[in-house]
Amino acid sequence: MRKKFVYFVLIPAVVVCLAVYLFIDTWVRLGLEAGGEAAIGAKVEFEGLHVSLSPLGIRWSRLQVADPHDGWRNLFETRDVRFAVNSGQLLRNKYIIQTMEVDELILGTRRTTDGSIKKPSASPAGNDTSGGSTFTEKAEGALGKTVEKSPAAAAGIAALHLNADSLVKALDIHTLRHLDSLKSQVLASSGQWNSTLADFESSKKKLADIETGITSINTSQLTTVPAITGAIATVENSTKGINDISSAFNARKAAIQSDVQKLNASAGLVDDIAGEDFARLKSMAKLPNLSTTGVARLLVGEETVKKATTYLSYIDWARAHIKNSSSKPDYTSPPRMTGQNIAFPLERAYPKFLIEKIRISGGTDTSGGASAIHAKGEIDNVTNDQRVTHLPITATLEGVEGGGRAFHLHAVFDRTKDVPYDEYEASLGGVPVAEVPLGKEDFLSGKMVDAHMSSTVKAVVPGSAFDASAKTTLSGFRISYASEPKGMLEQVIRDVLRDIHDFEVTFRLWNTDGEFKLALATDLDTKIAERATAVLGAEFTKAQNDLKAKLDGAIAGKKAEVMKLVGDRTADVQKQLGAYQSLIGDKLSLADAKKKELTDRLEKEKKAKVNDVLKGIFK
Amino acid sequence: MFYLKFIRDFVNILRAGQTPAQVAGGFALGSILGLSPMLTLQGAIVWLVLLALDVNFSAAGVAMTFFSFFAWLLDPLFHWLGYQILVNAGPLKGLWTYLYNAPVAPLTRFNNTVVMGSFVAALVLFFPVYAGMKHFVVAYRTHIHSRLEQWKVYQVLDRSTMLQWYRRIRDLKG
Repeated sequence: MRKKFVYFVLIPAVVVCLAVYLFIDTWVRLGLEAGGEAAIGAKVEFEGLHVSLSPLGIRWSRLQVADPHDGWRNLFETRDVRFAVNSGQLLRNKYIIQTMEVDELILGTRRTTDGSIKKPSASPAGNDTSGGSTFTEKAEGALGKTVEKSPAAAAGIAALHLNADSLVKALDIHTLRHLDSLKSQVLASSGQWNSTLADFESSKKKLADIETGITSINTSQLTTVPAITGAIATVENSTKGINDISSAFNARKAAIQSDVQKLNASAGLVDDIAGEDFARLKSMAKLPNLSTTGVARLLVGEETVKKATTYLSYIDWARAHIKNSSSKPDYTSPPRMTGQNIAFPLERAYPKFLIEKIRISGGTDTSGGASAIHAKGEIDNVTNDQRVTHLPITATLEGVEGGGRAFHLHAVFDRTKDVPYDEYEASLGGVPVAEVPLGKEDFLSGKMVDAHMSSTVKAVVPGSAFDASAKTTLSGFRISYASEPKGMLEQVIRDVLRDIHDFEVTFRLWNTDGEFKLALATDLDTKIAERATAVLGAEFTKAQNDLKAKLDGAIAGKKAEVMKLVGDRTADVQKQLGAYQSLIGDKLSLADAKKKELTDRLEKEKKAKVNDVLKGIFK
Repeated sequence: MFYLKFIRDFVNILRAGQTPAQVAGGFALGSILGLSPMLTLQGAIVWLVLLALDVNFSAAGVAMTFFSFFAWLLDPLFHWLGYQILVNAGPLKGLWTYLYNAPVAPLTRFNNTVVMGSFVAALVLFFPVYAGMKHFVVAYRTHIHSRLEQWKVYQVLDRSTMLQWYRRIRDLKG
């Protein structure tokens, strides 16, 4: 053997091989930890990692992945994990793993060291997607506004102590203004009516003259036909004069009656306006409407939105890290004459990275703490390019914990088509919840402790759309408050909440038309409303009655005065109109009777004349 | 001297020799080779066509040199054009996927943006280049050359060093 070969090739080769053999475990561990930390945004730590060269594979005894949101808790950790790498494909620079065996998957274990990594960006999950377009960012503002719009905002639920007098003084009482206006209208109309009635007085004289003319006709003294006919003509003229007066009277009477109707209608509005004044007075007094929903929303709304945005950040993380390999490649600027190679789907080929199956067996190790969940299940088709495998990543996990909580998760991450599609279905039962913050700083500020939560969630995320619905039941809790109650109402609601130990929250979060919307409903509102109405009923009614009495007192004097004025004036004018109407009717009747009498006399006279003529002929 | 020979042959051919169609054909095929990156299947095919057809080889060489320079200048445009054809032309995606999985097609490097863009540009320009060159050769032989000789500028330049070089090149024997 040549010495040069030994010195320059063989010995260095042996040294390199030795170094690789001795340090490969460390190198691979450091590489995996660095890659994992870059992806998760929190510490990833392997223990007992060993690389075997024949068959080529890796195993480790423990893996801890810290929660990027809570450095003192693990997102998950595993015990023994082992898998073999397809060495044939490795030569083609492809990492193909057929089956990965995971002995235990434990969620939410406590850490002994802080696992957070300080990064420039605040939120480690999902922030490397295109700027400002993550579900979390889109949802945060919209959901915050939704909760702010909560009908039972703290400002609207203040203490139930009232100073009715000062409130009534401060109120701009519309009823009084309306009464003043009504009084002015009555007085103005009354003046017009008086001038109209004065005109009628002059007509009265005419009617009297007409009556005198009619009564002066003595029918028995009229013996000739021309005399009778002349008297009939006189009566007819009188009738026409009466009718003229009647027409003028009727026109003016209609105008007066229209005025009267308007005034009565305006007077009828007084009670309605007074009702509106009372409503505004109640609003000024901040009397709560106990049937209004929203107290529960105020209590749990912020916490629900906080949870929702946390889960949205997980979805963002999935979107950012499970790439849609069929999407259009980014347009780059390569060096001249080199171009950019565009990849198209390959048939019957391996992607760059593939784990066909991760089999997770549950375990009983309780060293992670009582709160840890031991999961079992299967994750399939984990790959960097689903267009090659034509299979979406699927995960089916279920877990239980000694304390009784259990969860089930089924997730699909489909990147086989141009539009990415995610689907999540999860249920979580009997979870002890250490603390749930409640309320706002200025109203019902406190926390719910010792609660147990059960939830079912279903979320579908096709493309940039999102539709999730969830149902959560909180039970067995008690509430501790940060400070003394700030008002009577808060005290009462606290008393009510003391007797409520379970409630249900359902919510739907969707953005199918672009904007995030939140629908939050809970049966707690009904419970609070029922109890609060019972407890507050008497106090509430008394407060309302006080206000009503004060307002009525402020209005009553003027109301009585104006209503009397309206009544008196309208009654008076109606009475006078009636008198004139009957006077005109009397005169018309008199004229008609005289005309009939004269007509009869004329007929009789005509008959007598005819008889005289006939007697002369037949004589 | 290889390039000088090409240039000499080309200048000679402009004046007389092969038909304008042969000169234009060689020039147009050379334009495809000049615009497209080397080492592609379609490049080899064009070479074969060039060798198989009785077209002017010198014109092809000049065109390759000339259009290579333009290809370098227009590279960003070709990259953009290729990207649009490969990525944004939806109806063609099936074809590209089929070719990507076909046994020989990948040798064309069609999925490279510059290869695709420059090849499409070369195909589009092929007939205009052919027609333009043919027209130019005819015009050169009938009018341009005789007119050039009558210009005073030409006569001054005719005695210049530059023209001496031109003649040397023109009359160079291979």
